[in-house]
Amino acid sequence: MTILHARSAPEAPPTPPEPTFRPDTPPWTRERATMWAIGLTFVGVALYALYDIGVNPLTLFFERDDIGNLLERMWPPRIEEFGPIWESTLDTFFMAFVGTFIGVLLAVPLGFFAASNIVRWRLLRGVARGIIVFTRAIPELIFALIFVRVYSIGVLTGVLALGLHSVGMLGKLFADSIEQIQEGPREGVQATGSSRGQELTTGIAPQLIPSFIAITLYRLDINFRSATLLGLVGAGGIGLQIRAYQGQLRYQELLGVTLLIIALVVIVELVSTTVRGIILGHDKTNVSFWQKLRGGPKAADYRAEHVDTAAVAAATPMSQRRLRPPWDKERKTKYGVGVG
Amino acid sequence: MQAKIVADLSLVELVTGIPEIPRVFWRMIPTDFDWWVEGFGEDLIETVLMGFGATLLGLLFAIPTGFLAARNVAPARWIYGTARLFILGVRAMPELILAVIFVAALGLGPKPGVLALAVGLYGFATKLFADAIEEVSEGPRDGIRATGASRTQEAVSAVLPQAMPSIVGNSLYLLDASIRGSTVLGIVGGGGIGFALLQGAKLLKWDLLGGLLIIIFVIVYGIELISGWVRRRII
Repeated sequence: MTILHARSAPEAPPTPPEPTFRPDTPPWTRERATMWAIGLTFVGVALYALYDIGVNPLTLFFERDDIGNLLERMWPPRIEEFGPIWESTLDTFFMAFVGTFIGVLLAVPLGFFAASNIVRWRLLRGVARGIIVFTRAIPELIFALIFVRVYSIGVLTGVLALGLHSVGMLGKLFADSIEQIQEGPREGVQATGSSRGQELTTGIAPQLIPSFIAITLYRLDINFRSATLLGLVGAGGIGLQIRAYQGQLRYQELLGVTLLIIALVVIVELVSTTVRGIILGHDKTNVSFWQKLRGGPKAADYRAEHVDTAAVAAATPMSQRRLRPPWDKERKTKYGVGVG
Repeated sequence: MQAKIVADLSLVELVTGIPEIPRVFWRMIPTDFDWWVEGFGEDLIETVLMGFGATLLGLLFAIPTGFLAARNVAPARWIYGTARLFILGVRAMPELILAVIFVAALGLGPKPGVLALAVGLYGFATKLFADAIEEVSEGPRDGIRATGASRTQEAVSAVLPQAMPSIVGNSLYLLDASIRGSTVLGIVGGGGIGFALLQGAKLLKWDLLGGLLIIIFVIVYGIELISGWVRRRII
């Protein structure tokens, strides 16, 4: 009792600690100063550029008369000569497909040569990286400009231009994904005494196929977009029509073809995004498009999807187990797209 | 049927044409500076300036609309949907066709080129920014909202700082893309070095083409190196 009493004897209330001065911005390190300097330089150069060229954010508003005039001449959009336009649309698709194909053919070996976990020889890696950087830096339109002089106007020029330019991006992304593979399967195959070629085909390649296909599809999407333009320098495809209409001042047809291109690009992008989602497994393959729109799968679907595959596999006697994965919807999609 | 005919024709040509490629590139290696014309320096500077200007112009409009196109920040569901649809449409418009249209409206020169480039970048930038904004965490927003902040205050002081590193990183990437894009605008009359390239190709001046391509490569690669370095520091 006394002890308790003694304890509760009046005591000075705890004084709050001295307020320390804390700046609410991080300190000015050298790095931060550099960042700000770079940022301000960028804005400065950009402002000078806009002033020099005579463009400001409201230019479109000030020039509304000129643009309005043009739009008046463009309206309503019209598509005549369905035959040539249909043909050049097919050409455009063809250029995008074959160009991507050539790009992949060249980029796969380059990607392997440029990956640091496959090739130990630095010089070879450096050469491969150099080719990749160079082909990426030169726009496909300039490749097309060069090839038009060699192969004359036509689809072939576009195919080569797209193919060579694609090598840059494809090679870089391929090399990156090769460098990210897991070493486990590779070491396992090595431990069986395999040759280097066998190691490549069974330990490394299977890990890469999904990401390679996804990257290729992405590039196909980009190439289709560029293929619509290559005709502007005479490389075939729908761009040829655009150039013709521009030269002949047939603005209604110009707008018509432009709208057609926009529609095609949107469709190709939607298809390639969906297929890529399926391959990379971001989407559930057995969820229909409408279910996705409605917002997620039903509970029954969800349960059906999560059958314990490991348990099923363990219950199967060893002699009946399959070496290859079953032909489920996902695998069919992958191979279907690959063959296509 | 048509596609098959096209394919047959091209495959033959393709195979016979492949040996030509190394020869073309070999002829493009410049051995002297005879191809250099006084105006090229200005054209090259104009190309780089066009890239910078278009980036700033695109960013200026992209940051506000990026907020509207982010699901977690947009004021209403229908605004988010409309903004996303709008961006998809803008992004599908190829820059060069826009340049053709702007050149037809405003005449030749860098002005229509910058505008076309800026519209193209705007679509791309808005998508990247909206995606970045959708990834911010909710904690700081809740904190700011608890102080009774308005929607604008919340966006400026809770969302923007979180999204800033990725916005800056993406902007640098856009600057690369912009300068690369401005090199070809001259082909349709949009200013910059593209016109000289087109003339060089028309007159079959291979060394001129090769020389200019090397200079463009150095510029583009230099800016890529700088922006890559800055991006690594930020993220």
